[in-house]
Amino acid sequence: MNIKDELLKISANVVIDEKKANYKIIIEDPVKIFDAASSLKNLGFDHVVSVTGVDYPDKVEVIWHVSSYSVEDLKGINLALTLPVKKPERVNQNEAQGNFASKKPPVTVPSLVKIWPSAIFNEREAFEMFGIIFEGHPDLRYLLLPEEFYETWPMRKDFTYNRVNLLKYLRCLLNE
Amino acid sequence: MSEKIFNIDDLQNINVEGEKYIILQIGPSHPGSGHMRIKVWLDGDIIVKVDPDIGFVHRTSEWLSERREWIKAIPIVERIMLPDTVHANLAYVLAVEKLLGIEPPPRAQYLRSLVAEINRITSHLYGIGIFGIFLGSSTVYMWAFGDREPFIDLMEMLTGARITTSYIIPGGVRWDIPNGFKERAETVLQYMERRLKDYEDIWVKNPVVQARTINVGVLKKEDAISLGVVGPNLRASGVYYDTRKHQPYAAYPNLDFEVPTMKNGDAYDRLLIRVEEIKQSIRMIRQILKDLPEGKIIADQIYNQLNPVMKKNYEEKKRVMFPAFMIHMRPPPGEATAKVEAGRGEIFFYIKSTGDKYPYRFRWVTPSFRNLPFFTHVAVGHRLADLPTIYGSIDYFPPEADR
Amino acid sequence: MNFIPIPLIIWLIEDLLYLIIFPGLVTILVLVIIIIWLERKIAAKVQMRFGPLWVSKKIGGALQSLADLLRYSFQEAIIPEKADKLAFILAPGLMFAFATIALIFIPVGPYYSALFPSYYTILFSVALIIITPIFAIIVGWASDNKFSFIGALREGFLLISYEVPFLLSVVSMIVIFRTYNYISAVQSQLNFLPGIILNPLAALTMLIVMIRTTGRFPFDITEADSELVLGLFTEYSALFFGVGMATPYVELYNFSLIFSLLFLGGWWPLNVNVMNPLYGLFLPGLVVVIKAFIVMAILVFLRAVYPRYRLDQAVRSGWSYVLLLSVLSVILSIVEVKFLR
Repeated sequence: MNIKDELLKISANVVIDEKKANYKIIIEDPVKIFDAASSLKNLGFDHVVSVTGVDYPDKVEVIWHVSSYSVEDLKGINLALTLPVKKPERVNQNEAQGNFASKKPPVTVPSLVKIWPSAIFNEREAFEMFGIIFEGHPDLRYLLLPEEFYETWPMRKDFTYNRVNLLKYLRCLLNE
Repeated sequence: MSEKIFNIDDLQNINVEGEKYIILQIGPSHPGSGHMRIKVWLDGDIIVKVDPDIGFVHRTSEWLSERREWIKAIPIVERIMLPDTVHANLAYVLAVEKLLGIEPPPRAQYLRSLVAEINRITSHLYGIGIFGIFLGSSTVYMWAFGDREPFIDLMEMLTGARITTSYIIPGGVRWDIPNGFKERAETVLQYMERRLKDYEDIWVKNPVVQARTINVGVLKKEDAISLGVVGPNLRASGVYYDTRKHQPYAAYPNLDFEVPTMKNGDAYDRLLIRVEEIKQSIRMIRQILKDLPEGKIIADQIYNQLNPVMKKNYEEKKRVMFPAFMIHMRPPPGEATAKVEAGRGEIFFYIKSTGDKYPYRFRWVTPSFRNLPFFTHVAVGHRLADLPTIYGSIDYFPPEADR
Repeated sequence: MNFIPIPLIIWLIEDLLYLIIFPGLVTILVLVIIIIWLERKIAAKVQMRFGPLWVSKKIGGALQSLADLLRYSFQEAIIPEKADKLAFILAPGLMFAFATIALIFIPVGPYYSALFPSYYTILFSVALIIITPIFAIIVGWASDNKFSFIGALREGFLLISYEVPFLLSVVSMIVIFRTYNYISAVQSQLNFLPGIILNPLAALTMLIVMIRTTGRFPFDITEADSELVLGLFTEYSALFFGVGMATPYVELYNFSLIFSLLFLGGWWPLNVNVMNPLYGLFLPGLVVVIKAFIVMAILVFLRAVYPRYRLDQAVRSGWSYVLLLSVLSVILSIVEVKFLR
């Protein structure tokens, strides 16, 4: 099976760099991501290794890294299913101030948990780190971070924190 | 016993409202939890729902690594996976090498495999020991942690550090093999082979252990695939997958080894498979020490960057000092992924460079994080006393999952 | 001093001597300290480590348990706000008291016992011993902690499932010896054969029940630390905790005394008929206590070998194998009495 041909059937935008173990399939339209994921699953990509985002100034790229346990030919491939999403315009210049970090609006993409159950904890992590709301996720809560980080999305490149407020907050924790 | 196949909708459908259920908060300071909290809903003695609450030792390794020079990420990833430091180090370096386009020389590849296999044995012994204390056997706990020592001493002899070795650098390794290492390693391997028989007598064939683990925490093959479980736990469920075979790295393409798989996928199989893998690792270490090729331990691109004093040091002491290139390393723009089979499973790295001093995106996923579905799916339907059995059998390490 | 008859004095203060010095509280304290030290030392030997070492280094750390006891005595006693305070404070003490008080009815010599020489000593001592776990349940209830509560429930389940085999194994020995009295039981063993040969099934049942009741491995279910922190005693600290931890050892001591009296021939090989302070009173007692100590040492060694069973496995085996074993032991006794004698 020629993996490139199969992938090109799903999307026209396929990048393959075998030297860097880099297989990438880019879906531009969030509506099509569900169909693309279904066809990848039918192809044999049966589990998600990692779900993450990459933050750019104008967009957030959501990446599902998928691989296969069941199809012998695909066991050596880490395929990145990529979906770039535009960040929403900032409605209000005076952003809501959080405890010690500024709050920002999230982006929304469909969740692929229904297709790959293994994405369940990965998607929760991507949600809290990048502000990607996965629609249809059965259990989208914060996983690693405490609730003080609510809506601050710390892994985004424009994450800033107020050192004074942070120290105050930590002192409060200590005094408790 | 969870007979049915995992279905994602069940998570929403479990209704645990009402006074019928006892809610137990196991952890984060509980002898049987580690640095995490396991929220358990009990119906009598039967577990109805489990919610693992992780993140108590989240150390923001991705955030820190994206704000530091490339080389400085090595100690950060090592300290997250303390029983498995070499593998974390190796996985990161593999990803960076793919970006840089450097191929290490064969001797360095063999040395990487050598230290990785030594580390795998220590990691499995760690897991067996923790499993022992979770079932109440302090003997196996003490034995496993004591028998870890000779291997850690071997690592110290080879790399200069016991746990956090930082041995593997882009382009090769930092130290060559010292005098007398081969003899010492052979002694340790023979000792371990003797000890494995003792383990079988007191632990693997113990009737109480078999009563506690057989048919407990069964993960079926289909579930293991769809939930994306990794490492020995995956192979215990009967899936033939090992990154060392399917995405070979270091010296593994040249080594002759088997990937043991089991059929039932219960806690007992997950215990057996770790013992089997220790045997395979011993076999591999013997091969590596026999076939170790001659040559440099660092790639030519790095070697040419060394200044005369460092070159002299390299020739005399067989030690690679860091050239200035390392700290000012700016890999060309691009993305790379790397996978490494660590003791607990598969480490995945995704790194994106924009040609800058720092990584633009540094993403890694640890095996324990991917083994989390064991709690949500496998533990349901068992008794409360089976929760430590399942927890211990998957060799879960909370700091590793939290990153 | 010639005109004061020593036997008379001993006869006068015999009860006090029995309960306080030997084989009473002082002996219990010494033996518990030694047995805890031995337990830790044997386990350490198996596990390739030193065990207790730093307190009293010259005698191998034997005073470590005493140091622990001192530490518990001076620790602050923390009582949880929501706990049932009266029960919380009283229950460990009562538990210890009832475990100790069973000793009144266990004679360690033909002429040496605490109270009046009752005819029903076996029944009384067994009755007192099986009261103790009830206070364990009170301890778990009073703490107002879910882990303690689950520990108490487990204790209850196990108590019920192992009480019947225990009683049946004692009954089978009563049937064989045709007496309710320890002294006559031992005498009939001295005349014929020790009980462990007469009825090995009953001895086996008794050993299993001893392991279970005193919470030794592999039945360390109520205190399973990876599941229940410390089970019943999760909320306890200071001397309450120390007393609670010592109680199973006292129970173990009582059980071992009963075991050595019923199955190991009591003061065999001594066969004393003279009422002499040394030969008549203390020496038989010493033999019994040494036998009991050996039984205890064997039982605590199990810690180094076995992990623990699950609750349902333990309860199931209690109601099936152990119960069957005890019923068979009663049948065996009846058969022996009918046909052999």
